[in-house]
Amino acid sequence: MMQQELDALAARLKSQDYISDDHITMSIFLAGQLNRPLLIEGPAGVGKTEIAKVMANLHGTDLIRLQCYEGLDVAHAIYEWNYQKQLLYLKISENAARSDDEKEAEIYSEKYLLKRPLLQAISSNEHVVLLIDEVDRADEEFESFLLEILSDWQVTIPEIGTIKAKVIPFVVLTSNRTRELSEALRRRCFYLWIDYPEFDKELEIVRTKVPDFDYDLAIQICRFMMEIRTLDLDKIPGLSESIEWAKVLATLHVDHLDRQIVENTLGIILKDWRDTREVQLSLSELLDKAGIEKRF
Amino acid sequence: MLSRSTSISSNLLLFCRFLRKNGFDTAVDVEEDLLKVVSLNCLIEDPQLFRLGIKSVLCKSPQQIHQFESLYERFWRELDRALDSKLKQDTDAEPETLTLDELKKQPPSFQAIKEWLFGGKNEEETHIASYSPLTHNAITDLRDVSPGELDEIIKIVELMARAMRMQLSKRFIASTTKRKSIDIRRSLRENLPRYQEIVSLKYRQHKEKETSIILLADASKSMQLFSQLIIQFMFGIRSIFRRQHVFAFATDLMPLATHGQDDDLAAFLRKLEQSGATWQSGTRIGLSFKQFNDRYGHKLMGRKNTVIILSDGWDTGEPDLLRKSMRQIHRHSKRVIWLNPLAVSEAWSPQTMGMKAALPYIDLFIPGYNLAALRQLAQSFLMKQTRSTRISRQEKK
Repeated sequence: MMQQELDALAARLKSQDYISDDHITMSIFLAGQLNRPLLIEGPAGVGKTEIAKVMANLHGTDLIRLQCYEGLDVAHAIYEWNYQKQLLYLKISENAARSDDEKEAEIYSEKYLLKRPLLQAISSNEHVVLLIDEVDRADEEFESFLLEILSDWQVTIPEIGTIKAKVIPFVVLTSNRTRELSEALRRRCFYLWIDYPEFDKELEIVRTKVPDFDYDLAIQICRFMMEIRTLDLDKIPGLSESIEWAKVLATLHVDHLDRQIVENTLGIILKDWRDTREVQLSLSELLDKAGIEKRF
Repeated sequence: MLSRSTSISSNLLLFCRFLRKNGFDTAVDVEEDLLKVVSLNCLIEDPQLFRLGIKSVLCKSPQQIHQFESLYERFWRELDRALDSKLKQDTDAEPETLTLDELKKQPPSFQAIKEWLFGGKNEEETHIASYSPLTHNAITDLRDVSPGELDEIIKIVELMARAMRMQLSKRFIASTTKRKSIDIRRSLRENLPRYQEIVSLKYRQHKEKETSIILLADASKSMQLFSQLIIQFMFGIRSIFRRQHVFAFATDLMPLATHGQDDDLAAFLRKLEQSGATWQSGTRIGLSFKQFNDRYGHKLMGRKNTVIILSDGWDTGEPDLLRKSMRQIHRHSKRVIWLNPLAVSEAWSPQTMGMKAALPYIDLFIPGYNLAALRQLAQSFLMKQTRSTRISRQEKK
């Protein structure tokens, strides 16, 4: 019974071009069943954000995205008062026969509230998907704001009171592990670690994402990527780089990899000059290990 | 041995207790989630799904995912061996009684080290580690340490730590005292508007900045002999430096204190005791360093940090893992310094697989772990390099 449900979910994910594995499917399934946020960690470019997009498509609902950055605060993540509108209202109602209390109640009503992504998701009448992307980039203080929302599904606004979620959203948090997240936040989430994919999975993903792509070339790309990831690089190329590379090679009508082609297109998969230099130095060995024909 | 219960919920709670006992943290609300998940009856139909399900709930970090695999196997294997369904508390077991002679043969406990540090007496210094013949050469380092010498060790450690604390930054600041470097820009800016020519010169000096030290100390049995000095060194680093991170390692990494300072030796020893550093177990340096890189590397490492490793290099793990971990540490730090107590003999050469694997990634190798070695370490920070033992990167290649 359970296996059937998981298989069905995996098939639905695949219908959205997302190739999952047992662990990913199980985590998404359980997070949905228990209404828990899903915290996804892993290296850059392995498909963490993609899960939220795919889930929004599957549910046929909106994806509300909060991109985290250093210095992100409540005003940009949860809510802010529309000060201009409030001032305008006070100006208009200067001569109106209203008491100060009435005016205050009016300007601090939902009408003057600017809902930011977290409040939008909480107050939505639909089962939306909320993506809190790269939460590790935000300050530690911001995690504290998240705790109330993610455990009680409510937001407290001092002037209005507590707004409870009508429908609990499906929440996905992603992190690249640039810093350690707090234990409190981890405890409130289901955790999913996505690593670089195995060869077979990567091959399947590349062929799914780039339809009609040459099978042998896809194998060569995946083998080469497996080898390149064994090097000690600053920015190890992820799955998104493999897909991007495949798309570029398809555009260039390339049907096989050789040293010249790899050297010319190295900039697509490597984003750091030191990494590029290191790969160039060991390119012959990499090509050899990946079983790619050497043409000098 | 674990006791077996017939209820799946009880067994799962037992499993959580087992995880906690083995350093895998699980909170009560996570256990609550676990029971909710198990209440999805369909989950227990398939053992693989069951395992996957509870793994998804319990694991909250990549390290826990790794830990889970081995602990899960261990728990259910032990549970299978359990004979009855009545819950027995571990405390029910009668304590093992040892004769006085047997007790003397026991390796020195952490408590003994603590007593020794506080001025009490024990026989620790008379123990000879039987780990390697090379150890006998190194024994002279600490075997006859008198209380006076111990004070000197502490002074050296503190002096060294103070010497290490401040380093010159690449950035310049205005100088009023040191007159080594002329600040042309400031000289022009301050003189030209007033005198139309340079009348008084302005000077600049490098800004001083506090360096960050990461200490990785071997707490395995082969380093037992040096445990006192290691503890003193750790405490010296902890008490003097504002930016330091101290770790012990044996078969696993044991983070002692990654934040704040310790001014109280007793409090520091309590932390050390809680961390599980006992100088009793084997060594897996590669795995420990990998754990360091995975758990703390991204947070603590930086090109301005110096990493000090105190170890004899005896590793029972995979040399390749050590090589990779050392490469990562080397790459993401300013300097890697390795103090090896066994390298005191002239005949010493890096014979162990671990030492061989680590050597290319060491910037400064200091043989021995004694007063002279510590002085040499302090010297290296004052002089920035030591000629005799520095392994240049060209040589390594």
